[in-house]
Amino acid sequence: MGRFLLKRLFQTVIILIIISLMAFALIHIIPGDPVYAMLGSDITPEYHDQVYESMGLNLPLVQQYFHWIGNFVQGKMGYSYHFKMDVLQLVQRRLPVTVILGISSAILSVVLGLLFGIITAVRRGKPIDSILTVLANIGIATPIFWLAVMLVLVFSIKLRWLPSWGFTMPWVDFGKSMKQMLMPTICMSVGGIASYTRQTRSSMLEVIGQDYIRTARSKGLKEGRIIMGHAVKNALIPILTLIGMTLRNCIGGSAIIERVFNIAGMGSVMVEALGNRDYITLQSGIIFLSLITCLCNLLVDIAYAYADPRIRLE
Amino acid sequence: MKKLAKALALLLAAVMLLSLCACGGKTASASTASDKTDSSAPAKTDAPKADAATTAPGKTETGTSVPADPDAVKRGGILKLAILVTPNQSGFPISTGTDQNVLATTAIESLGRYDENGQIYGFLAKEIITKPEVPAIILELQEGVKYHDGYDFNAKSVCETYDILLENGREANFANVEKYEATGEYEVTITLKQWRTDAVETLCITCGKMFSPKAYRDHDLEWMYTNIVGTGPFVQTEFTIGEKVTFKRNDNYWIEGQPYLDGVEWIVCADQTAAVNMLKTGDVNLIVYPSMQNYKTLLDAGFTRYGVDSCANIAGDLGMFFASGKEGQAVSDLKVRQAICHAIDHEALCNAFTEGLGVVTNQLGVPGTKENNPDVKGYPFDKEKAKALLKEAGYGEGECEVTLTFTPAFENVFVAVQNMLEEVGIKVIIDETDSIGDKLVVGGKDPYVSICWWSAPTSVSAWFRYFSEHPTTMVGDALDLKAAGIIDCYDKCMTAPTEADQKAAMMELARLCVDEYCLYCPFYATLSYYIGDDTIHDSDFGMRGNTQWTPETTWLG
Repeated sequence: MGRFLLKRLFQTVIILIIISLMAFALIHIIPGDPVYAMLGSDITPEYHDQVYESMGLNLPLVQQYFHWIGNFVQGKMGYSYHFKMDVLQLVQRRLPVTVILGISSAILSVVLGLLFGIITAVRRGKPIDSILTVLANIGIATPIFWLAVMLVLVFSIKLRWLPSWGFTMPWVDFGKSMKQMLMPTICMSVGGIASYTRQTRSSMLEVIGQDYIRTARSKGLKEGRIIMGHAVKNALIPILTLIGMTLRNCIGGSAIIERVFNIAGMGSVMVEALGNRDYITLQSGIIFLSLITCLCNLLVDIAYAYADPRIRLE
Repeated sequence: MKKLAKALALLLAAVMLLSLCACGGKTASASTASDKTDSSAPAKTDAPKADAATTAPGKTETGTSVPADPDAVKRGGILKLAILVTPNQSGFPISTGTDQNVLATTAIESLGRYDENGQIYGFLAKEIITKPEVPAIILELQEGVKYHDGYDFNAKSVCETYDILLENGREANFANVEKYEATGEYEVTITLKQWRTDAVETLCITCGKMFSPKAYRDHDLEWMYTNIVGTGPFVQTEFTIGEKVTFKRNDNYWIEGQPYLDGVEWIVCADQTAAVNMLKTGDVNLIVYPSMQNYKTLLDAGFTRYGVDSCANIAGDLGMFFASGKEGQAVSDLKVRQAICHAIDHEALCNAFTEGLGVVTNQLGVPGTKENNPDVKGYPFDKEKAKALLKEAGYGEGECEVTLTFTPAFENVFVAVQNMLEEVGIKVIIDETDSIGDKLVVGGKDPYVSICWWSAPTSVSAWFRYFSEHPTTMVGDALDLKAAGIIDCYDKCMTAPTEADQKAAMMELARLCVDEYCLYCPFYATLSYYIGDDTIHDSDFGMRGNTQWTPETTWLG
């Protein structure tokens, strides 16, 4: 297990180096001048050059890259000229919002998805199976932004039950936080719930058809125990991959939801940094999100190894 | 199976009904006020009507803020405004946009303000005395005013603020200033190198926003970016970039009894839809410059427009200027420029893209302003004439090629322009850019037919800003501006000692730039507009210039 972990960690470092190079190169290819984006085009050329140099943008690109990555490794993520604060400070402020939203939607996706998947598999061919399967198909096909706008129209504007924007940390005001998080979390988890339902159903149906389940039944075990004790456990293995992907997507792909619900998270930071040519924030943000993705993948791999001993042996 | 089909049908019907409910009808929170413009609400009774402070010698009247009906004023409440761009600095030392200026006005006051005709009157400078014959400007300041940090506002502090601006990239604004000095405790005398008609605007509005010099000395520029310390009716309490900027009532405000509100909260809203939803749910009172489409939708839903249909309040003009950095380019040819102008249907563009807030214009001076020359013929929409002019210039069908540069915000307009040009046989290469600023800088080197933004024609300087030293390079080889007499004419506009002289020069300049040499092709101007609920009163939003409002008189009710 130790060797397995070391190997995966080494791979993670290589992936992060490649991503940092790609991110740096792509961001600098984007046309536009960060100084003009920051200060407008009314400034004098002299002042432009002065600020340009103070941002280190006059240095050769290779030097800029090593300067940035060197500092990043030491924990100095640089200064955001758009947000007027250290990027680390910015990430500390904004990332928890995105992570909380991501984790809550991932939990909702997993819990409901697994539940519906098990129900549809166990009640195969019954009305509940058909209803949930149709709903899952609708869930997969529903665009997130459309759902978000519809939810706001119904629950915020028409019924006035839920706030249409903002985010409050649960420990600051739990009630308000739950109200604000409900719609974004639903939007972010609908696709996940649908995918889990379908994946769990397929996986469960495959397992339920196995000889050892038939044996368990012939031994007279109760159906509930067969499903929960034998079928679900084995059906979960392919679902683990999906869990890793869900968490990654929720955290890395929250930009749309954050904008529609006006939530100040990492997604909106990245979009704004891109629009304002805030290179340092963009680069560091990409590395941070890549790091989270790699960690999620690593956790899934470890979970996989625990769930399936064959992987450990390999 | 039948039961299942019924259940599914019922479910789908419920979802569809819910969607229909959500999409249709007037919102519950929609204003009950007239859906017409609220031009009467934010009115000021004592607005001074100074005689052309920017041009004529003499005194301006003092502007003090009094609400339209003082007895009707209700005190208290927090004004909440949605701002669609992220303000990432206080506007000091360089303001980066309309929205940031509007926000900073909550706490920062300027030496002068615009009246309803776009003329400047004294505010923190209770009198602005202009002496073109010296040439000099004398500022008589309000007494008993303090900055939010307790520092006294007086002649010394105004000079200190000017010093700080000079230290931080604003030299160009002071290029015409010989010296400025405190000639009394509350009197500043600014001696100019030569009399310029834009001097008052530059020194009392552009550089006239009074930030506390003590705050700058005690901290640094970075601190100043997110800390607005002025003399205004509200004191900043929070400035979180990308989230919100909040202000509380200034209890020591220099105008007795004001402000009426307890506070002002600016909520950053990067997404238009989110801002619209926030207005509909009552989470904000007003949206600062939403998209035209959202403005129309909200107006139709019963919300109130804040602004007046006065050409002194232009949010922005849209058009093209012709820039050719290389000799022999298509746009260097006068006939080609004229053909391009004839090919564009200004009326159609205005109708399609301004939701009723547009004013078609054939020159920079929008009809209805003193800068407009009614004798300018311009280039009416005429496709056949455009084709004939191209032929005269030696270009057959599809032989004339131009590059069209614009920002994504105006993509729809310029795609329409592209179609119009292609209809007369002009090949158009699209060059969409995020930053026109970059293009402006290189405009002298590369051949462009390019988008041109020019701001409110509230002053001569704004009107002619595209003919100052920097923009001249954009016209490039399209014309030798000096030989054409344009530079001389522009200088006369800017230095004329009397209003009559200036007017004559302005009229001639408009004729030269449009009819004679066809240097630009304006499409339309857009009137100032803000949209919100009907609870905001005496705010002056959209009434005088596109950034000015009067937070001290604003009340909710």
